[in-house]
Amino acid sequence: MPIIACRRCGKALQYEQIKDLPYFPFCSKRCKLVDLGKWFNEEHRMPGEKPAEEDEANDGAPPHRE
Amino acid sequence: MTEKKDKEEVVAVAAPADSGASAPALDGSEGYTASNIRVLGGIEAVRLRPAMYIGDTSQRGLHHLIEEVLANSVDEAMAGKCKNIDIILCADGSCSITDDGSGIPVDTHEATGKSALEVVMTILHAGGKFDHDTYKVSGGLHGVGVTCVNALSEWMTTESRRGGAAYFQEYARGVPVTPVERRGVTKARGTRQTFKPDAEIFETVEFKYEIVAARARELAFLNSGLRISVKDERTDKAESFYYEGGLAAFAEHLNLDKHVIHPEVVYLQKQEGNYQVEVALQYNDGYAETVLSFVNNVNTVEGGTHLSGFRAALTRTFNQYGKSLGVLKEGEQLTGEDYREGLTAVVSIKMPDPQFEGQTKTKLGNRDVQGIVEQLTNDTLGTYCEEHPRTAKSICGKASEAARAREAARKARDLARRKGALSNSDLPGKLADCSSRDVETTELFLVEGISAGGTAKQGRDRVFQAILPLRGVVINVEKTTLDKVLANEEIRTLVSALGTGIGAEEFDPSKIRYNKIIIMTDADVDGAHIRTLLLTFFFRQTPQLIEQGHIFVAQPPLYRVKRKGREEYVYDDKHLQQWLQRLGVEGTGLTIDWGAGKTTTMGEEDLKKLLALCERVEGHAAVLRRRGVKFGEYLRLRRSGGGFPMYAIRSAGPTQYMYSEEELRAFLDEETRRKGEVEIVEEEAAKGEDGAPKAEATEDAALVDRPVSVQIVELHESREAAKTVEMLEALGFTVEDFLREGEGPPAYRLRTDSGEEAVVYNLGEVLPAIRELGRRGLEIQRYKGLGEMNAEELAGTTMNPRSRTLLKVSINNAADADRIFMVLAGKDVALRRKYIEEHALEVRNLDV
Repeated sequence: MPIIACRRCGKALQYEQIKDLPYFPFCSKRCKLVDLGKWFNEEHRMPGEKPAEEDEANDGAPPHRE
Repeated sequence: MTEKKDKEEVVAVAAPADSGASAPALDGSEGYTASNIRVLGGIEAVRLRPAMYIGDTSQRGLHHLIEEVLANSVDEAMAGKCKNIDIILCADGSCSITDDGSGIPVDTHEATGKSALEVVMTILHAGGKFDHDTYKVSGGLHGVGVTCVNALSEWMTTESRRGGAAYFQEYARGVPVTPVERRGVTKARGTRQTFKPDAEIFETVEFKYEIVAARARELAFLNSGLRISVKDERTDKAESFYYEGGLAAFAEHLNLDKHVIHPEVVYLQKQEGNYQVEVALQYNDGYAETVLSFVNNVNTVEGGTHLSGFRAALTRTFNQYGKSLGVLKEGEQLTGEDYREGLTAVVSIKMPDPQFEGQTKTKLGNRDVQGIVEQLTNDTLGTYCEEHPRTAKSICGKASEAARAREAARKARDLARRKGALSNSDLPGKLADCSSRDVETTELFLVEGISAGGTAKQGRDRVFQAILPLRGVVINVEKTTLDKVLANEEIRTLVSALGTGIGAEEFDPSKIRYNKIIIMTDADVDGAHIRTLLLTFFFRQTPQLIEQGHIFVAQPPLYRVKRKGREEYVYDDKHLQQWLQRLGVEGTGLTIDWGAGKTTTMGEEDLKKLLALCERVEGHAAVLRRRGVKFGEYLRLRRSGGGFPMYAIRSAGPTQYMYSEEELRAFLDEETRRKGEVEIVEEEAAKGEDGAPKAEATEDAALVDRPVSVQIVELHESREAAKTVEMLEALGFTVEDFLREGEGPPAYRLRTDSGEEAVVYNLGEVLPAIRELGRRGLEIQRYKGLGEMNAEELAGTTMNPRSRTLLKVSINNAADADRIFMVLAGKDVALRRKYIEEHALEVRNLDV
C-alpha cells in the first residue's frame, strides 16, 4: 500500500487509490487550503540560482538517457 | 404567588444552616395551620406544574432530581465541608445519595416551630443557600432544591448525621409521614437522601447509569479532591471519580482520543473578591471546538457572559503574544474563530447570585462577569505565555494556519462566484478561447511567455484549441536569487479557464472546460521551473484532473536538422543520437589494423552488429557512472570466470567490490566482528548523474561522520554487462579493446562510400566516430525556446494532433515534479544545491 507524506504537515498517509484520501496529497482540508493560500499569496517559489554557471552546466553536453 | 411569598418569609427567618445551637421556641404569631397550608400549597404547585421547576418530566427531568440532591452535597464540598459523595442507583428504582458533609440541622426552626430538617425538605426555597455568609457560592440549577425532589418522589427518606446522632424522616409525595426521629448515636457526619421518583409524574422512572456517571465525573473534575462514587445495584456497575488535577484533568480527559498540539494543559486560576475563575485549555489538531463552561458547577450549555469574557481574553492575549514573538506577522489579525479550531477548554467560575437566562436556563446573564473573567484570564494567560513560550507558539501557529486556510477558502469562493457569472465573453482577457464548446475535443494550451503565446495563438486551430499565456513572475529575493512564482493573477486566470473551481468545497473536476490541458514550455531551465510549478499545482490542488488523464506536457522539438535541403525535427537527445548513428553507418565499412600486417574488415551489416554491442556498452557505462562507478575501473574488475562485481561497498578507505551475496555477507560478518555494530546507510549518491566525485565525497562524509557505516551499492547492471562482454568475445574482441589508451595498434579505420575516413584507437570510440560521420553535411539547430519557431513550425511540430507528440502526465510524474519542487523550494540549502548540481538535466527532462 503506497504511503505519501502530507505535503503540508508531513503526516504519513496510507492509501490504495487516490480517492481513498479526500484531500490527497494532503492529510486534511486544513492542509490543502493552507497550501492553496500559498499559491494565491505567491509563496510557492522556485528559487532562482545565480544564472551564469547553472546555465552553462545545463546547455552544454546533451543529457544522458537510459 | 404562593411560591414567592414562601421564599420571602423563609429567607427572612432562615435558620443559620450550620448553627449547632438550639433555636428559640415557636413564635406564637405564626399559626401552625396557616404555615401548614402554605407548605402543602408549595408542594402541590410543584406536583401540578413539575416542568416549571425541573424543566420537563422526561428522562432529562428525571435525572434532574439527582442533580438537585447532588447540588447540596457539592455545595458542601465547595465550602470545604465534604470529601466524599456516594450515589447508589438501587434495585427498587430509588436513588440514594450520601455525603460526609455537615448534615442538615435538626434544631427547631423559629418561624415554623418545626425541625429545620423538615423545613428544608418540605418548604420551597428553604435551606442555607440563601444565606451568603454560610455558603459563599452555590449551585443548584433552579434554586428550588431538595423540596422539589421530595414533592416529585413517591417516597423519600432523609437521614442527617450530626452532633453524634442520626435523625430520620420519611415522606410520601412531599408530605411527612413520620416525625423527625432520632435514631441512635453515630460518629459519622453528613446527609443521606433516598428517593423514588413518582411514576405519576415522570414519563420514565428508570435512571440511566451512564448519565449519572457522566455527571459525577464532571463534578469530580470541577471539584478537585472530591470523590464521587456511583454504584448501580441493578447491574453491579460501579465507578469512583476523583481528580487531584481538577480542571486540567478534565481538559485532558476531553482530549483523550485526540492528537494534541502541546503536551501540557494550560491551567489558569485566579480569585478576585467573591469571584473565582478557573480555566483549563489544550488544543488538538482537529477543527472542532469543545468548550464546556460552568457556573457554580452548573453546566452552562448555552454559555453566557463568562464564556464571552474568556473568548475575548483568549483572542487578545494570543494575538498580542504572537505578535511580540513574531509568530504572527505584522498586520496579521486573527479572529476569535481562528482560536476556536481544535480548542478544548473548560471554564469554571464560582460566584454569588448567578442569573440564568435562555431557553433551558443554562446561560449566564450577569453583565459584570464578562469583564471580570476577561481581566482575570488576560492576566493569567499572559503570564502563562511568557513562562511557556513553546506552548504559546504552537497555539499561535495553529491559529495562524486556521486564518490562512480561512482566507484561502474565501478566495476560492470568490473565484467560484466570479466563475458562476462566467460566460464565454466573460473569460479572463488573456485567454484566447476556442469556439467549440464540445468538452470531449477541446484543448487548452498553457504557454510559457507572452511572445510564445502569441505564436501559439497564430498557429492554433481556433475551433478546438485555446491558448492561455502564462509567465513565471520573477521575484527578487534579497538581491541574490531571482525566484520564480506563478503570480496570483495567473493562478486565478488558470482556475477560471479550467472552469473547475478550486479549494476544498468549490473544486469540481467534472466541470472542466477542456478535455486536454497541455503545458507547453521552453526546453530550458526557466521552462522547467514553470512546468514544475504547474505540475506541482495540479498535483496538489487538482490531482483528480491528472488521474482522469486531462493533463499533458507538449513535446516541442529539441533540434531542427537540415539534410540535403530537407528539414526534420528531432524531439530528444536519444533520438538524435540514434539518427546520427543510422546516417553514419550507411555505406560505411570498418577495417581493424591489428598491427604486424594483420587486419580484419567488416562490411555495413557486420559493423551494425558490432555497433549494437557498443551501444550496450555505452548504456552500461552510463548506468554505472550514475552509481558512482568509473567504467574503466569496472571493466578491470572482471574475474577470469567472466563475472563482474554485484556490489560496491563504500566506507572509510577504498571502495571494495563483492561478486556474490555470499561474499557480501561474509564481508559484513567480518566487519561486524572487527568493529562491532556496522551501520548500513542509504545509497543516496547512487542517484547522482556523475559518479566519481560524489563517491569520494561520500567516503569523506563516512570518514568524518560515520566511521563504521558502510554504503552498499547494488550493481544490477553486472549480469547484462557480462553477457555483452561474452558477445563481444564471440566476435573476437576483448575487454582490453575498451581500455587502451594512445595510438594503437589496433587502429579502427572507418570509411564511407563517399570516401570519408575516420580513425580511432579504442573500440569505445567507434560509436562516437560513426555519429560524427553521420553529422557531416547536416545542419543541426538546437531550439532553446518556443519563441525560436514561427507559428507554422510550432503548430506542425508541437500543436497539431496529427503530427505532435504529447506526454500524458501520470500521478507519479506529477509527484516527481512535486518532489523536485520541495527540494528546490525547501529550506535545506545544501540539499538544494546538491540537487541542482546532480539533477539539472533531469529537471529539464523529468517527464520524458
